[in-house]
Amino acid sequence: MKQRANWWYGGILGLLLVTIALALMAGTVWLGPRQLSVALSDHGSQAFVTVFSLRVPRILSSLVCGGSLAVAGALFQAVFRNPIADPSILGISSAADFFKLGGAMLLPWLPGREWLMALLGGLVALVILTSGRALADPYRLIIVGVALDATFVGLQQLLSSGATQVSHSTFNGLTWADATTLLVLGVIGLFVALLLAPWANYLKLTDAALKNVGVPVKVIRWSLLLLGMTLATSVTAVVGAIPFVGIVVPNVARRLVGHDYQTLIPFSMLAGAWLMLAADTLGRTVIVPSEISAATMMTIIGGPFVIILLQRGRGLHGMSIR
Amino acid sequence: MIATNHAYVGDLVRLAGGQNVFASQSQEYMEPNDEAIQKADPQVILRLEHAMPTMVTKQFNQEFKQNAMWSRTSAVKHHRVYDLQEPTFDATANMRVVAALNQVSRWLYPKGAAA
Amino acid sequence: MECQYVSYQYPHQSTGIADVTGTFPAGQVTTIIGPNGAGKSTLLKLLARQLPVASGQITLAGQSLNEYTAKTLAQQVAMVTQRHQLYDDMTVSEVVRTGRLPYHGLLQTVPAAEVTPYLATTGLTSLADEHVQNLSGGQQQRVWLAAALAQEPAVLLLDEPTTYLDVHYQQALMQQLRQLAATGMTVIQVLHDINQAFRFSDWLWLIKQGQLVTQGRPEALRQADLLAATFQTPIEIVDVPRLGPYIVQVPEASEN
Repeated sequence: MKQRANWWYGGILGLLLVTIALALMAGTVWLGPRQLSVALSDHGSQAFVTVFSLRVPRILSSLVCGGSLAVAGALFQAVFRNPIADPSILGISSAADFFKLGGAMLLPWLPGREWLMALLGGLVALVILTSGRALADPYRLIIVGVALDATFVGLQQLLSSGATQVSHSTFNGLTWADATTLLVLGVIGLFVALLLAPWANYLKLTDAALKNVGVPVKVIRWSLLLLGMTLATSVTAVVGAIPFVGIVVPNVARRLVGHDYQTLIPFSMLAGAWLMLAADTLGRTVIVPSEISAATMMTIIGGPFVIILLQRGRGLHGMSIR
Repeated sequence: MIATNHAYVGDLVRLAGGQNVFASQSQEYMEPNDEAIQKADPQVILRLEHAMPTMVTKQFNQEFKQNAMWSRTSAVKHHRVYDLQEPTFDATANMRVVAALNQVSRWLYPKGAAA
Repeated sequence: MECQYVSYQYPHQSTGIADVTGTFPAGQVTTIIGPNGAGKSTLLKLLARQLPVASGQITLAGQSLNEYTAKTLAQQVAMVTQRHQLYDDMTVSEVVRTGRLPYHGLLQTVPAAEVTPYLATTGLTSLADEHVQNLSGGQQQRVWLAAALAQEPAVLLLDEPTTYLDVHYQQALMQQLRQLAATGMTVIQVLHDINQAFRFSDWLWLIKQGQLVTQGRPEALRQADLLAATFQTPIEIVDVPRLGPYIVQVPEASEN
């Protein structure tokens, strides 16, 4: 298992490098390796501006977002003990989106508004999710989450009806400022996630068993939940809600590198980063000059995946889907 | 979102003697990405303030300020960004089409304004 | 370990534990027996502090259970429950390592070498990297016992540990508990099989309707009328060659 995990780590790193190189070259104007190196040495050229000001921040953003969403999904699955729990399907991301829009209308003067409002929205959804009986039953949890998601999407449409600009969860138009914000928040969050990975393993035991060995269950559960929520809403704050990354990546990763979160979380981070970058690069190159948003790309990939996972797996209780 | 030559406001540009940089075979509107806009390098940018003018104008200004891509277009460099305001302009044609067309051609060709 | 006037009442239910006072002798196997609903498991949960004592107090080494922190209590008391559940794949070694958590910081990882002795005493060394889900019921029970032993507890609590085991494993487990007690560990278990309880225990607690009927050495409690009154069914004690006294339930007098 360890041996195989190492192979997969090597594989995903290689894939990541190749995809980053392709993403630097592809776009409205194709820049081959030679043009690329020429462009990077000539800071005044149009090609340099294209690569450095448009492509690089976009690539960095999609890498961080993909990693964050995949890890957030893995954390949610550990906490809810449910293989398809993830901040997007449980309505956390759309709540963040809705609050972000509400903030733009009501409190346009607030510094750091989008991030604060998204975080607040995520927290509200989390409280709704954990306050009732949804926690006791994995099916109820998902249904409540889906209803919550639909509610916040509806509210958002209500709020934005009449406005021309509907947010589309796209990496287009991201500036260096956005990329830097994402990078700082994402890297801190992912670092903490690596540190807390053993806690996700503990939650494979029952609460009673954990209390017997003196582990403060509530503390670790809420820490992981808030961490996952922060990772996911940071993405929503800057880019918007992107579905399914958090479900697809950790579940594929479990098959490839096993169920130990100390291996699973770093692998999910890399695989999520790759998936997001690949989806976005494809989305911005297939129908030039327009593009398909990252959220749409992920819906097309992720929807069928979840259907297959549930139709062929053994169920939602526990994570022994093989 | 950009109006192509197949949309009313997009086609005003052609009627006024200009060339819409995002011409299309069939689409009325499209959403080109930053790279495509930068490559098209528009000389004039017309921004349609639709539905909620005050909020949309603010959003436009913020977007143009934050996203450096715009500042590299010829239009912004030469201060040729114009706001199409209601009621003269709208997403669909109205009774003020003559005034609208005159306005657009004055923006496109400031010196020899057409009658 | 001692109980002094310990009471506990489940919310909205009539069942619970009332005014129980008694001792669990150190270094011996104590078995709690009694009819269904007598409060055996409840008592065990109180001893593990999984439920809070409503009145009275439980002391361990002369100190109230409430004075222990979660961590120091976990270094003293371990519990093997009737049926353990895992929400995700774990290997034998991973599960047993959780037993070492009371001795580590929350962010540390437990080195695999630390559980080698516990895997050895439970005969799991060769299964260390197997997935627990793929093991038999008997093997799984040993995994949980190994995890409890890894806590190096002074008191080991077991709730019906033989339920999912075949006859062979039942015997082996009982022998092992005796050996553990011989090393000074206080073993407290709940059993359904009365004969097993009498045969493998050093001390017995008889419980009925949340109250302690009596406690004592098995020889002293092996009385047909006492057991009949506790279990509310006619009981006789017969002599089985090569085994000794055996407790059997007999049909009601009117059925004859």
